[in-house]
Amino acid sequence: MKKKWQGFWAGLFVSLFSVSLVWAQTGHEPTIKVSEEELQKAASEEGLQRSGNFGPFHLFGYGELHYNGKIGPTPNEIDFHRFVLGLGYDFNDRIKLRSELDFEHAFKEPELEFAYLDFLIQPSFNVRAGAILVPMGVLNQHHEPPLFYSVERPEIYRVIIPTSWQGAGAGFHGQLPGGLDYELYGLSSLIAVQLDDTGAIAQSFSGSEGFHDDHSIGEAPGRDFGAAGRLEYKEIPGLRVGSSFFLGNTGQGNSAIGGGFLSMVEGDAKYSFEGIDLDGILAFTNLTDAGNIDHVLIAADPTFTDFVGSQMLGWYVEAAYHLFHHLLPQTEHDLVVFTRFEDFNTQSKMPAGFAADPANDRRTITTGISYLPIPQVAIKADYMINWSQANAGVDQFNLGLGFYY
Amino acid sequence: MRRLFFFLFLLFPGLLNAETIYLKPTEALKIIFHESKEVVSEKKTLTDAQKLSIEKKLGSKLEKKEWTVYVARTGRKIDGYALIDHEMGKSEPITFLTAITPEGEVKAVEVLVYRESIGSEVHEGRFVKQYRGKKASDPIRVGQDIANISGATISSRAVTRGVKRALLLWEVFYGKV
Repeated sequence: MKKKWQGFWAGLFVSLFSVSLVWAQTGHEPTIKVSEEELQKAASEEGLQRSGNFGPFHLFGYGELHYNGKIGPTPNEIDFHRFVLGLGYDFNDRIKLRSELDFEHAFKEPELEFAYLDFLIQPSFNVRAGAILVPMGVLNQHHEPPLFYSVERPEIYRVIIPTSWQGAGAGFHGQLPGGLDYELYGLSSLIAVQLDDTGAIAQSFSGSEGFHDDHSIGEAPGRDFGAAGRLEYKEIPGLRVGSSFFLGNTGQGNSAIGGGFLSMVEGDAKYSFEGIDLDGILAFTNLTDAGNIDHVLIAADPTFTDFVGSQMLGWYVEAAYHLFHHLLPQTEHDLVVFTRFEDFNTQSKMPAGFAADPANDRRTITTGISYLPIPQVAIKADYMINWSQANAGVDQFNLGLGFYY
Repeated sequence: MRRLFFFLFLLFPGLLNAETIYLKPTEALKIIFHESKEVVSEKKTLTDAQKLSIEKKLGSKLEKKEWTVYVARTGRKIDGYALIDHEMGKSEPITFLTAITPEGEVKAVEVLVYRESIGSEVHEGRFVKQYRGKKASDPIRVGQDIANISGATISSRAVTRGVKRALLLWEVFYGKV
C-alpha cells in the first residue's frame, strides 16, 4: 500500500515539474512566421561538408615524421613514425563506427589503433563498444600531433601510460550535470609476460619501459579484464581538470605470476590564459606480484636484468607561450615556445629480492618550438636533456612534422 | 510497467532527439526573442564588394552571398536579428545561432547542433555567454577576448569565427555605414 503511494507522489512531482518547465518556456512566446521546414533546412549541415565526409562515410587520420638526432655516438634516426588512416561510418544519427589503422614506422607495423561503435542515446548516457582507447590522461585519446607541442609524446605517456593503449570491451560515456564528462569501460587488460612458441619472451613489462611494450589487442588472451574510467571538468573556459584510473589483472592466467593486479591512477590539469598554457600530470602505478613476473622473465631468459618494478611514479609540468598572441593578434598562424620538466621513476618501488637500477630514476627537460600555419599542421623542433640518478642519459635533438585531417 | 516507461519518457526528453541537437531553431528563436510578438525571415544578398570586404576583415572566404536573417519585432519596432550558420569543427560542422540586438551587439549565441564526439562544451552557458555584448569592431578572437575551452580549442575557434562573421554580415545588412 505504502509503495503504491510513493509511486503516485513521485509521478505527480515529475509531472508537475515537467509541466512547469514547459510553462516557463511558453509564458511569452513570439509567433514564428518562418516555416519549420525552412528553419530545419537552415540548421542542417547541407552546404558545409568536411572534405573527408562522403555521405555517411568519414575519412580522417593523422601522420607524423620524426628526425631524432642523438647527441654522442648513438646513431640518428629518421622515421615516418606514424601514418594513421581513420575510417568512420554513420549507420544513422545514433549508431556510428569509428576506426583508426596505424601504419607505424612506415608500414612496417600495421596496428589497429581503435575501432568502436558508438550508440548515442543522449548527452548524459552513451554506449561505446569495440577496441577502445583507454581514457588514461588526455594524450592517449587525443594524440593527433598538432595537439601537443613536442616532437615525441611526453615520456610519461610512453613509459608509465602505454602509448596508444587500447583495450577490447564496452562501457559508457557522457556529460553529467555541472560540467563533468565521464567515461567508464570494462576492457581487456594488459599482459605482463607473453612468451612465443619457443618459450622466449615475445613481449613483457620491463623495468625501464614500464608497460610500453604491449600491443596485445588482437592476440590478447582475453582472460583478464580491467576497468578504466575518467572524469573531466571543463566548465570554466580555459581550464581543464581530469583524473583517470585503470584496475585489472595482468597475469592473464599464468599461474607462476598469479594475479599481477595493476592499478594506475592519474591526475591532470591544464589552464590557458593570455596566450600562456600551463599543463601538468601526475601518474602512479602499483603492480602486485611484480616479483613473480620477474622470476618468470628470468626463467624464460636467464640474462634478463630489466626487472619490473612494483610501483612507478611520474609527473611533468609544462609551460607554453603562443608568441603571436600579443605580437600579431590578427594572424591565424600559431608559433609556440614551450618547456617541459618530467620526473619519472619506472622502478620507484621494487619487489623483494630485486634492486632498482638508478638509471630508471630519470628526469627530462624538453624545450622547443612548434609552428602551426593552420591548426591541423605542426612543424616542430625541440631539444631533450635527459639524465638519471645513474648520471646516464643521452641528450637528443628532434625535428618533427605532424598533421591531421 | 507502463507507468515506469512513462516516467522514463518524462525524465529523459533527450531520448526524443538525436543527441547532438541541443535546441531546435524554432525553440531557440522563441526563447531568445520571448518578449517579441513575431519573428520573420528576410533574404539578404551581398554585393561582390561587400563580400570581399567581409572576407578581408574575417581573414577567410565566405561560402555564399545569399543569407537569411531572422528578424524579431513587436509591431514596427525591431527587437533583434538572428543568423543560423555553420562552422567546421575538428571534423564535423557545428551549427549555431547568433542573435544580435538592434544596436549590433551579440544578444546570445546558441549552439543548435554539435556533431563531434569531443569538445561539445562550446554549447554550454559559460562559454557562449562570453560573446554577449560583442560588436563587429571587437577582436572576437580565442585567447584575446574569448577564453578557449581546454581540449576544445578547435571548436572554440570555430564558433568564435562564426560569431564574428555574423556580426560583420549584420553590419553590412543593417548597420549604419
